[in-house]
Amino acid sequence: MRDALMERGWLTTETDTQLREEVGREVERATEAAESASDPDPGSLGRHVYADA
Amino acid sequence: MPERNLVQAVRDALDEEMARDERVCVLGEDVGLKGGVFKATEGLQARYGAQRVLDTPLAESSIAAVAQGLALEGWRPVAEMQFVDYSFPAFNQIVNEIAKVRYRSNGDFACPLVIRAPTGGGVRGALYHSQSPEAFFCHVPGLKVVLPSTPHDAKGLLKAAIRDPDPVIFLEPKKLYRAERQEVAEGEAALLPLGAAAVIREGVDVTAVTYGYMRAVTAQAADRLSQDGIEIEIIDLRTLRPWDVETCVRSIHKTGRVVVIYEANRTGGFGAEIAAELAERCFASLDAPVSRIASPDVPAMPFSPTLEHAFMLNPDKVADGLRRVARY
Repeated sequence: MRDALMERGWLTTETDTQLREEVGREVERATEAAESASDPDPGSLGRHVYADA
Repeated sequence: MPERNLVQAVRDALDEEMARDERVCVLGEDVGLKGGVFKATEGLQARYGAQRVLDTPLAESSIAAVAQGLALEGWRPVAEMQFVDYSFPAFNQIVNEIAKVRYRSNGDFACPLVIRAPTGGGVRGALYHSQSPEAFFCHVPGLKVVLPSTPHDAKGLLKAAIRDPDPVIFLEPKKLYRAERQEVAEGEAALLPLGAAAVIREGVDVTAVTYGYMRAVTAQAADRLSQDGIEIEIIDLRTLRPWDVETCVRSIHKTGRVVVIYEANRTGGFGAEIAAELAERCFASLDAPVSRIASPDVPAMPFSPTLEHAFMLNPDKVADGLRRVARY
């Protein structure tokens, strides 16, 4: 897909690199946040099934 | 108040909600130019435009997925499956995606949409136009399931479903689309709450819990039994998930007997869930076993009129079942 986009001039190497770095940073941030979070309360098992629960 | 049949009441509900809220849109196969295979959306595209009344390809999974995307983007989509039998290709999208959006996002996202679909048999629809698969959807936490049986209820509950913050499967008994006309309220006066059953006939001998087309069949059976001195209390659930357990429990405390009547085949039907719950809740009040009256366990509705008649419940079958429990 990247090659196809570049062939058509819709994506440059610079933009591709920038996008990959941004996505990588976002994934890193999300991973760190998830790993540093405490385990959820087992009592929250039934939350967010519907709007009022 | 105007008199409407059930399919007209559905159309009125869509019309009123689209006029009230610009986010409400309709999509499905032939819902636009044709106005729907049962004419439930007739005239809506002319009034609201092709952007809000969208004809889709014959691809139910895509219909459900597009509806989900619209809901996530802030629209209030009402998707139509031409027959609920056709919703199975969309089952993955409905069960694995739509039903789980709120839960898997820890409440950050919601998926407020309605999927409407004609359901049930008795119309010579045969294998692929007659099924009653409400139990599949009722089994899925995250979905709400509505199955009205009158024009009044269809309009009020569809308006409520469109305004609900969660996904709602809205099943319309096709045999009742043009079976009855009644006065139906307009605007806010028409609204009905989801999850509230209706006691449509009071009695002291047996509680009959039912929904959809079986409401009318059970009412006819109750008329016959009344001539024999057996008085049936009939509860029309109207919403199957969440269903109104408390109204049923109160009735059973009065009658001591309960029969669940549903059109789907017996095994694993939603009536089995109702029976199990009421047996647990009402054991000490019961004078007879909780019973079910349902259709036979065959893979599909036969096309032969004789066999279709044999499959479908009718007042004779229901009256027999109710009489057995009353005399237990």
